[in-house]
Amino acid sequence: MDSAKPLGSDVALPAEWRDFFALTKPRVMTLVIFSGLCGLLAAPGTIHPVIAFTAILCIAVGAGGAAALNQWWEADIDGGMKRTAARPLPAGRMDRTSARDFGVALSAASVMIMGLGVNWLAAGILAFSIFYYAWIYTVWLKPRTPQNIVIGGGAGAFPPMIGWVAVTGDITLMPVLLFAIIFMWTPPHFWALALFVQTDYAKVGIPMMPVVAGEKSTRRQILIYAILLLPVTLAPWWIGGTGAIYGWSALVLGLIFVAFSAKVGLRDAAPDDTMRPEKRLFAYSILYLFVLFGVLAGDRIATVQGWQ
Amino acid sequence: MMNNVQDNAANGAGAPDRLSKAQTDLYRTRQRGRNKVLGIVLGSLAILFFAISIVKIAAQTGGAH
Repeated sequence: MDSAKPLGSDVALPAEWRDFFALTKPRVMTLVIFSGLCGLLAAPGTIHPVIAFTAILCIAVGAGGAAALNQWWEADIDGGMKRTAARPLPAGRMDRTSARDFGVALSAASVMIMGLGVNWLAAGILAFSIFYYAWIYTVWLKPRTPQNIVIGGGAGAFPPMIGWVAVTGDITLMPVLLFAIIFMWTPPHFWALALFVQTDYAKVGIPMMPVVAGEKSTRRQILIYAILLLPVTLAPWWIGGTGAIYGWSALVLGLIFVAFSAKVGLRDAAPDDTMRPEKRLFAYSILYLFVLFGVLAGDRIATVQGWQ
Repeated sequence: MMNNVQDNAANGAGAPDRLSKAQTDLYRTRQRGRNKVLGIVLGSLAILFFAISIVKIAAQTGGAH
């Protein structure tokens, strides 16, 4: 029961199930599910469809649990930002204890089911990824350092690795490279966003890079990360972990990413700038990751079918 | 601030401490919605556990031959 006050003159209604669902950050979850599924499909070996479904479900539920814990911890911060003020906790549609309990329950259940149903290495990485996001990123790094996004990017980088390990049961260079791709992709993706919503972050005291180090430094770092991302995405092809379909696609997608980043990285925005290049980079970065991981899975399927 | 339904006139000072009909209906609607979703989740989990068990047993039986 999550009603904090007794029934009477001031009635606390139970939160709606939709609010619990919103706590799991469903939009973020779609990318988590997709990258986890691509990691699973790209892995060598076979996995029973039921076990594969269980693995993806656990990745999704674990991400949802971590998101709920993140919102439980950041309820006050979310309330001060336009982008997040309508979330269930800052909007007052749910009490914090319910959010915390919901997050803990989802996290624990996802790890247990992953361990019992799939394998314990995947469960261990899933548990660490939840801890990484809910504690290392949310509690520790985010309010302390402008490098929060860089190191915190690791939290979002685990799903394809977990998907891969769900199939193979061990960690090789390929899942580490998949981790590295999302890790390197996160800073330009989030800093592009931070450039056009920086007043929101500044208001609540989150040390995002544009606020702390300034726009010029952030723009330069966006470009540096985009350039570094290109060889990292090509590494799976170079070590023979993927075929040419992935390799050429990664090259073309990466060059476009660098081009968009260069537009952001090499300019100075006026105070009343509409931030069009930054918004376009942010939108493209999402498309980029979806297509890159989609091609990764497609490349594997093409190899298995003997098409390349 | 919690998600509160403010008291109506019938629950004012000195009145019996009861929910109005509107409050009761809203409360029950939300509770019913939550129960329904929880039921679906638990039912789905039962089916999933059954399916996982069958797959694991089949894999072990296959490995024994």
